[in-house]
Amino acid sequence: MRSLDAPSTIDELYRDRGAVEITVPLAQGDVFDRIEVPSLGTGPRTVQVVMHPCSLRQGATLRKLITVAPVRKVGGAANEGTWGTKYFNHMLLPGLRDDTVFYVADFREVAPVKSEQLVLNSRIAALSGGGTALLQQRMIFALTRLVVERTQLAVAAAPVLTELELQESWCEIAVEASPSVDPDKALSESITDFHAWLDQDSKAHRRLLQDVSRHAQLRRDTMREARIRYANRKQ
Amino acid sequence: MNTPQSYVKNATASDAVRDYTMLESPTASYTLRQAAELDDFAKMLRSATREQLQDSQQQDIEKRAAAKARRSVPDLLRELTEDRGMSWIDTAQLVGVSVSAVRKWRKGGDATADSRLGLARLAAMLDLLEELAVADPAQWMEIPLPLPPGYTIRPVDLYKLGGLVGILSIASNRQDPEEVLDETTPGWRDELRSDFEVVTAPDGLPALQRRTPR
Repeated sequence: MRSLDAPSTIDELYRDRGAVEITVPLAQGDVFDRIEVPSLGTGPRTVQVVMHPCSLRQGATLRKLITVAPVRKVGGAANEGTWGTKYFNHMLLPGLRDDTVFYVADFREVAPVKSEQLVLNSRIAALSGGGTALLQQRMIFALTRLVVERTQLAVAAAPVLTELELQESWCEIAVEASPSVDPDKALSESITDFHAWLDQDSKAHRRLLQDVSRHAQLRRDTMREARIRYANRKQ
Repeated sequence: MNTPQSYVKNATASDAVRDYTMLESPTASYTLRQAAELDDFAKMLRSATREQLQDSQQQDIEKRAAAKARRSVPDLLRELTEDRGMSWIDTAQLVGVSVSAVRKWRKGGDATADSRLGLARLAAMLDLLEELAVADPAQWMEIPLPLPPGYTIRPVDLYKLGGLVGILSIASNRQDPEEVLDETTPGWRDELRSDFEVVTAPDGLPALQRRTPR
């Protein structure tokens, strides 16, 4: 049987640990602190977003309910072998808080939370693209006992990951160009602007997201549009 | 002076001729042996020139990278991501750092000399691809290479595997992707094979399905 994959280093697993910039869109694999999950009991807990990135949003806005898995500490340490031999119902999160503690997210207790709870200043970690593919691989295995190569998972996720990357680039430019505006307000407006731009001309730009061979052009167009748009606003 | 045979290390076409039952005509036998020796010599020459070319290309990349590395890190990032259209994820992976590290560099964060050279090397590589008539190098780097069913490997993946010169060989049609992968990643046929393929689902989004045997 093909084994479940392991990251080559812990750094390869995470995009960010500790503070995550507010311009980084909420995504599958993000870990939040102090979240109430009523169906799992009272009290705040640490959770990992497990909903597929394609399902998280309706246009620019998050869905009302988002599925999360509770995160807990476990004893011992995760080495490369642990990924392929243990914790088959979990996502492994070693060193989640930039520490040496071994955490896991439990897929058997996935539950919905209101998306308004997932405020970005409660986010303590974001997975890298490769880390997200590992999460998806482990979730598929937990649900079906099927091992899907993470390379193919990454290929299938490329359109939505590119969309998130473009949103981040767009919002960074917008927030930087508006130093006198409240960052949360500038961010919220720029997210709306970005999705309106993707959807203009009968969703011309959004359609390009589904064609990986057009992504380089789309990146250039997105950055150029954001620079022009927010430079003008600044004046 | 070396004769063609003195270069030959392994089994060769001329070895095969030696085991071959001699043709009746001595002239035909002689011609066959000569042709086999010439074929061996041509192969040896091709291999030697390829090695020399690859060494030169590697040196060329490094020289160009060193020149580009004189520019500031935000400048290099602007060239890669805004002018060329490379993704932040690929840029970070090809330089061997996290996406957030690269994004911090854009705002003036410190990058090590190695990282700066890594960015410069990537930018130099895209310049070289353009010189080889690749119209949109960043786009080309993301398009899967023509390989047998079961493999989705992009030039950008080959770059991660250290196959910079191999990418140039593919772009200039001197070598096919399988040949380059055999040289750079000998186990690729087993290690990088997938039983799944990405297709478009009825909702227009990508989906995975088990590959059907052909």
